[in-house]
Amino acid sequence: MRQSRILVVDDSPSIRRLLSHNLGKKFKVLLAENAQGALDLLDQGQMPDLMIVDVAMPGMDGFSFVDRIRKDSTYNAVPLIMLTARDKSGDKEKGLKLGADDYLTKPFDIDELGERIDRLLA
Amino acid sequence: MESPIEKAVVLIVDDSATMRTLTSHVVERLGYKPLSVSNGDEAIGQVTAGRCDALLLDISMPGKSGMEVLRYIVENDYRLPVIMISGSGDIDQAVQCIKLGAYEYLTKPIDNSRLEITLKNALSESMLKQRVRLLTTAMEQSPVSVAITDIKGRIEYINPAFSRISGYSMDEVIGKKINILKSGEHSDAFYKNLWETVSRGEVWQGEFLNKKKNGELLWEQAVISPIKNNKHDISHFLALKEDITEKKKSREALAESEQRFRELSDLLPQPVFEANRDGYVTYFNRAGYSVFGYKQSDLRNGLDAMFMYVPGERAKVRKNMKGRLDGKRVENHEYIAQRKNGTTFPALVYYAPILKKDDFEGLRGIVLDITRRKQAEKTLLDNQKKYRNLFHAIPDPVIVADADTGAIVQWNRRALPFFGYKSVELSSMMVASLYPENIRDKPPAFFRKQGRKKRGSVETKILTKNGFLVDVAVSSAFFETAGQKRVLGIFRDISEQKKSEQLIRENIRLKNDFIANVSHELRSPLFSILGFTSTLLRDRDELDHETIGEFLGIIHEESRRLSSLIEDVLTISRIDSGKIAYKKNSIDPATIIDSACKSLKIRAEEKHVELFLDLYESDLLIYADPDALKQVAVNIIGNAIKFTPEGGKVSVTLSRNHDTMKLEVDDNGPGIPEKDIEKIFEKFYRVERPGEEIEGTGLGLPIVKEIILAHNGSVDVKSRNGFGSTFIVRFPLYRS
Repeated sequence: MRQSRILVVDDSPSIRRLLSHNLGKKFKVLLAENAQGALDLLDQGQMPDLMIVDVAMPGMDGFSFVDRIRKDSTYNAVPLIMLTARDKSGDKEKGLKLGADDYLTKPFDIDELGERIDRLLA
Repeated sequence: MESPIEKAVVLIVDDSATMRTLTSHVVERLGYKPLSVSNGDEAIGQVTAGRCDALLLDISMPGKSGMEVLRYIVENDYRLPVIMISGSGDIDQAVQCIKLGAYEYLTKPIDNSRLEITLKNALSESMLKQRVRLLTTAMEQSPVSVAITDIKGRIEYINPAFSRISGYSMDEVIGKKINILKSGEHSDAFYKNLWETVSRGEVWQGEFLNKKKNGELLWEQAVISPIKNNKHDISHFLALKEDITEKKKSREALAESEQRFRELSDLLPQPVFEANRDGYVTYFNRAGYSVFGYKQSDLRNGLDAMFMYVPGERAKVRKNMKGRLDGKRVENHEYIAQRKNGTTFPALVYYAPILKKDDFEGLRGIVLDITRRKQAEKTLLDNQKKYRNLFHAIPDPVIVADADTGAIVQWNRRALPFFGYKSVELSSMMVASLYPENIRDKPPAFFRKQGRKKRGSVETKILTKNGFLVDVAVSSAFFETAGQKRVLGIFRDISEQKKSEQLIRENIRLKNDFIANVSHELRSPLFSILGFTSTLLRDRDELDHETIGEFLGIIHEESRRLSSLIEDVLTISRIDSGKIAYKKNSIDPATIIDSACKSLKIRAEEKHVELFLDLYESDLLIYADPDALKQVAVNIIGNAIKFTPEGGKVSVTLSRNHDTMKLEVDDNGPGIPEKDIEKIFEKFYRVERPGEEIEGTGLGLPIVKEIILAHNGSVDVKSRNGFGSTFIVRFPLYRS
């Protein structure tokens, strides 16, 4: 069975590191430190099975990135989980409306993230 | 003609001159005045001229005979005693003469004593007859009813007036008793008294109610006198009566109207008085007595009308009275009236002269106590003054305008500086011109509630003379004064309030953003810490030593971030509550800034930003809290590094300028937009950059500003959007 590929887009190095370590046990983890980096990876032909995108990032933010992905027929079917540290009401609705499949607010349990990923990949 | 007997003129008519002379002598001697003529025609001439009282007429005369003269006198009703003188002594002739109407017939030679008696009797009788004739005429013509009765009351004579008044003819009453007129309205005692009075020989006077023949009653004023035929014996009674029914009726009517007047005037609550021409009060109505406190006896003893006024008013009263009598209008009827007990009250006194057939009889007047009116006037005046003071004391501008035309009619003191107009300008302005032009067409707020005549308050803008727009809340009220509709507006300047409302809204927004920011900034490191610690706990047996070290390093770094964030929040909350205490000392700023830059250098390198330091100015000393100065440096230089893109450059220069330490931090980042420069030192304010989210709490620069102000320093920013920023911090140098 092919190992599922997960793209993590987050500007925080420590979070990238945290997710790569924990998800790396089970999946192949691709890392991007901002939206532009993620788009570059996709352009290079890296096709993830699932994307985890942080909302608050310098440059293009998570919402714009999701919007763009969902409008691209190549990627619009890829499951997508949004992460945020913000607690603004409406953010979750905005994310889901733009096409995200799930939404998690920091801090969350790493195992919880794993369960969500499994559900989306099943 | 009537003369006393002694002066009586006796006309002697005789054709013999000797006889005329002799007879004239005799007549003169008897005390009469003789007048003689020689023939009948002359005699008739004297008679018709009325020059004689008796005639001695010779019968046989040439021409007109004595008989013819006698006949003429009798036929023409001259009523003169004529004594015929005859030479013949013919009896037939004598009889004929007497028959014709002669008084006496004497024959020649005339006996003197006989002539004397005859003349005397003839003249007396003639005079008596004449008197009776006159009296009878008087009786008959008199409007007074006359009746004569005998002593038993039987009527012997009534005059025509009696008949006219009573309705009885003479024939019906002669011989009847006078009591046929009795009406039965008087008591027996009344008549008894009457009869006793007249029977005693005294005159009775009084009023009767009698009855006419037709049964009608009539009032008669009567005088009944006894007539005596000698000193003692009463032979008749004479009753003179006047019909006073009408008089009595009008007297009653007068009494009635007088009573009505008294009762009416007694009903009046205001004193009414009358004074006679000498100035004494002759009448008071009930209120007159009670208000002034006088008694009827005071009026009887003489009460000068002037006592109704205080002494000081009396000259004015006299002047006004005189003017009133001269037909002038009295303008001021107001006086201070005085009561008997000396107390006073303000009063209006109106009076008019009492005239009887154009003669001034006195004055009649009415007194109106105006104490209450005066009090009300005073209260009104006091209130007006009070309201005027209040009006001007209102700290907000107040404008009063005519509700119909919108013309400004009144304003308080505060309105002048507020609107910037002078009183003369306001007085000719319309209220609409106090508003900006774009809302003048609509009914200005000032009038909006006027139609409903209600109070109201609206927020709007006004335009001052100098062209400033000011936010105001206008409270308006509608009222009427002296029939004029007015609307009053109180203008409250709410521009400060608006500003602070905006500030509060902004603060709330900033605080909400701050909370969101802080939670974000707290959550991110917390999430890392939690994630790595749980990873370590779970995987520690599988992880190599190096990875454990790496994870612990991350945990440490994130904890440090968390700590510094919490520090910032605590600092700003200390500043907010004013609890911060600086530990000031004389310090060398270069050392402090240098140490601050050590940690910043690492950050710059990570971000690939060049950090140039020029801190070599020596011998600088400032009086400051070293930690606070360090924070200033970290925040400003840290910001510069944060906002400068990769490959950018940040220079930090410390220098001295006269008595001032100058720290200059220069970067070539994106700069600060013009609109944000003023605000970057405000708490929680963060410059928005589209498509970018820069970490921060919005507290760095507010903390800087607070610290610098607490050290009597200053901070300036120069920035051109897109070409970098320069922050210049100045601290005063320390002087020992």
